[in-house]
Amino acid sequence: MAQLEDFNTTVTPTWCPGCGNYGIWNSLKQALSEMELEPYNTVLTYDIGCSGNMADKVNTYGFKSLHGRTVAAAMGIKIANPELTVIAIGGDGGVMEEGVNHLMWAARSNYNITVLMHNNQTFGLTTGQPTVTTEEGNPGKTAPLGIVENNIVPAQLALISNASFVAKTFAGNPKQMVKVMKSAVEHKGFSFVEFLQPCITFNKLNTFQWFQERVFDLAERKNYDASDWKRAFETASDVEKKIATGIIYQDKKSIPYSQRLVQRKGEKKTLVEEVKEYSIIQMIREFE
Amino acid sequence: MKQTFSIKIGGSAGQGVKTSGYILTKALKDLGYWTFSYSEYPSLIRGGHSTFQINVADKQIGSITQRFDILVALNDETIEKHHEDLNRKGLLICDDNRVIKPRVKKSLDNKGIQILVIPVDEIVKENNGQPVMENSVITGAVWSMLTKEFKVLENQLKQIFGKKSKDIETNIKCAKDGFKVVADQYFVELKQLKGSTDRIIGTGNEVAGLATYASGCRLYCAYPMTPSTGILQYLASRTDKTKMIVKQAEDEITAIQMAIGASFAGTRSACGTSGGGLALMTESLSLIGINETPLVVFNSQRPAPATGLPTWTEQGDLEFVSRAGHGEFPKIVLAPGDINEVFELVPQAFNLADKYQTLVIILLDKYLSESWYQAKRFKDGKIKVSRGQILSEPDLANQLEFKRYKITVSGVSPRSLPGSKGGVYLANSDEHDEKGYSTEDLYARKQMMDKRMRKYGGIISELPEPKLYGPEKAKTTIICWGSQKGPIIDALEKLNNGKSRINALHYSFVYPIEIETIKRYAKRNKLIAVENNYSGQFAKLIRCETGIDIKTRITKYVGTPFFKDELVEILKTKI
Repeated sequence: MAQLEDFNTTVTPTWCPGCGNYGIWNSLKQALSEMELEPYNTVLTYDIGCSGNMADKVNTYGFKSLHGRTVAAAMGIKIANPELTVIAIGGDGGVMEEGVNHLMWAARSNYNITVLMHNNQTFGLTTGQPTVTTEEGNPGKTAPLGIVENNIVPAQLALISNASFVAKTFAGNPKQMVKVMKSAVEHKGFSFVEFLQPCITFNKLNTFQWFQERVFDLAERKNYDASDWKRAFETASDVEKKIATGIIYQDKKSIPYSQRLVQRKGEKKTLVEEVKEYSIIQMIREFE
Repeated sequence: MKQTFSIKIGGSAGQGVKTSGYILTKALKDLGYWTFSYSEYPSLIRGGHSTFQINVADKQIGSITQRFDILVALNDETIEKHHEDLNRKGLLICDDNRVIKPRVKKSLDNKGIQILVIPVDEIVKENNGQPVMENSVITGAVWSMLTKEFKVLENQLKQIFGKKSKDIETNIKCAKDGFKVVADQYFVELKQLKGSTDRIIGTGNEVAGLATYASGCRLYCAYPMTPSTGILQYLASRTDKTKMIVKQAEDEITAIQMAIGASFAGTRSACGTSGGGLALMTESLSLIGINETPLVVFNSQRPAPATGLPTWTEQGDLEFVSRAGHGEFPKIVLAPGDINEVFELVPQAFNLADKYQTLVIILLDKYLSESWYQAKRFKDGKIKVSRGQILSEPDLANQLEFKRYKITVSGVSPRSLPGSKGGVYLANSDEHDEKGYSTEDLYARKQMMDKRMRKYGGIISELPEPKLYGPEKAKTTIICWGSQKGPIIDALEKLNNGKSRINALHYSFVYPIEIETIKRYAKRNKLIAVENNYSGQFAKLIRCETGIDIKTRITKYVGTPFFKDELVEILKTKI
């Protein structure tokens, strides 16, 4: 059985000292080992940016795609081999901007994959431009006077796209991150996890302290029912004073994409195992 | 008896032009004749003007002619637009609601064209049929001018309407009454011939789908775009039999990314689109270049730029696809010339993609994708799946340290598939070391670039020579590629007329190019490029790769393919 150390590589991280990515990285490895996954049956896909720089720092099969395409590649991998655990990692730029359509479609199609979105509300690797999650009025290098567009709330978008699992967790809370990631990966269907992640270098507003003062854990609210979509949407929408974290929504009866395909009912093999020559004797008759 | 002739049917979209044409094509095949059928239609669902042309011969053909012998008019526009292209002593068949203007009538009379007016409404009414059955009446009337074998047509009506309509009997009655309007008076009298039972009729798109399935591709991803949609629809409509997953994605970017992801996971996957969609896929072509994932991409061309002429044809994307993708990386572009070559090259494309862990683009176009070719039935069991160097778990266990991107002489590094113990690696879009980890070590970069580009050595060594058609001794040689094979070969016979004047070299491996053959021909022959695009893109590629400048370029870029008779006229002046 794989231990946390088995998910380490020889590559040293290059994130800024104090970056939220260290916590996410360690919690991810912790979650993978606690779920008794092995490096060889796990695939992580990555985007471009600081989150994508995790690519050579986790010892599993990895696929570092182009900017915005982490979710799109993950969908194809899972379809080809449903026996693999497939987790797509990306930032707010990749998942909410360049590849926002992929997120919406992955959610509505209910592929059995997990999207881990690092939301630091800035383009970190390109040194501090605003993103779609930067709150209106905040400055950024390409909007020094403050951005004038409204921001998007990722969990709302995931919910209206029919995601069957939506969660939020705080990069300063490793215990919660591990728990939420495990629930997400074990969920049968599409799961979306947003990490509230301070960018200590370029986002001077949404700091660790700023989040600490606002986050609370839904798991501590005994009467919270995560299967109630309307309530989940309200909870996800309320980001002004208090920010709910934990599992916001989960449809435990959701049926993943691959199980919905009529022609695949009862098929035991994966598409990978099915590659061989196929006879055309039956099919060619239609051409006569 | 005249056995080489052509029929053009014209009407509004929705009038059943295509159905009539398709039934006649199939029935002509059953009667023992070779056919080639081509349709033109506007980019809309109802109205507009669409045509279906069938060229009939006593041997295999791959083209249509500009001029034709029988015109079947389901609307007035057909008569107005096409009567001038009717051959002398031709035939016009229409219903009794059509208005033939005096000017047109005079012109038809001058050419000795017979006009056959069918009381369509009356026949449909007598049979208590629906207005849409008018085309069954007309189809019967056309058939009556060709042969007395009504049974052959009836069989096809049953086969085709049997699937769609409950009212098959009424349709057959309508066709029969249309057939009876003219008794024992033939435009050509076709007798039942033997030998067509081992032949098939199919479009390039259908055959591309069939060959994709036969090659072991298990996931096909696409976003609908004319004229490539036929592949997606063909495969989607057969998943009950094939058990394939056929995915209509949210856009072309997703389609190709899913296909790449699936191929990385180890299955065979492909995606398909037209030029505009390929433009969106281009960033991902470059991704394959660096992460060395095998992939087959179909691009069925249509006239561009931009939305261009969505339902028309052109060979305008060769330059684009051979250069597509930022940076430098190996790729292969194939351009089959007809459905036989589609069936032959698609499996090769998958094998080449696996062998060289690279991108293979298959160029089709509207002409090849959507025309109905007749060919000998493809033999089953000829396709061999060859997956290249994939390491199994025992192979991986024997390795001291698995390096996915190991520097090798051939440039190809054995790969592992996710799920295999001991094969963990990173497929990285960043430049990387042998394990796949990102590197900015400039020496490692050079080694990795050299490794990838060395694949061209193997690829070029197995490029087939272009195929020669026509007399070997001829002093003029046409250089052509892809779908225009049919019109060019069909034109050769007429041009040579028993002598050795002109031949043609046809390329289906269009990038990279095998260069030795053309060097030999350039020394002794006059070369003429014939291409269905503006600038002669293949001729430009040849000049780039060999320095040989083909100065005579016959190009056409108006949305239609080369017509056989048109090509004969043009080439006559060049030899």
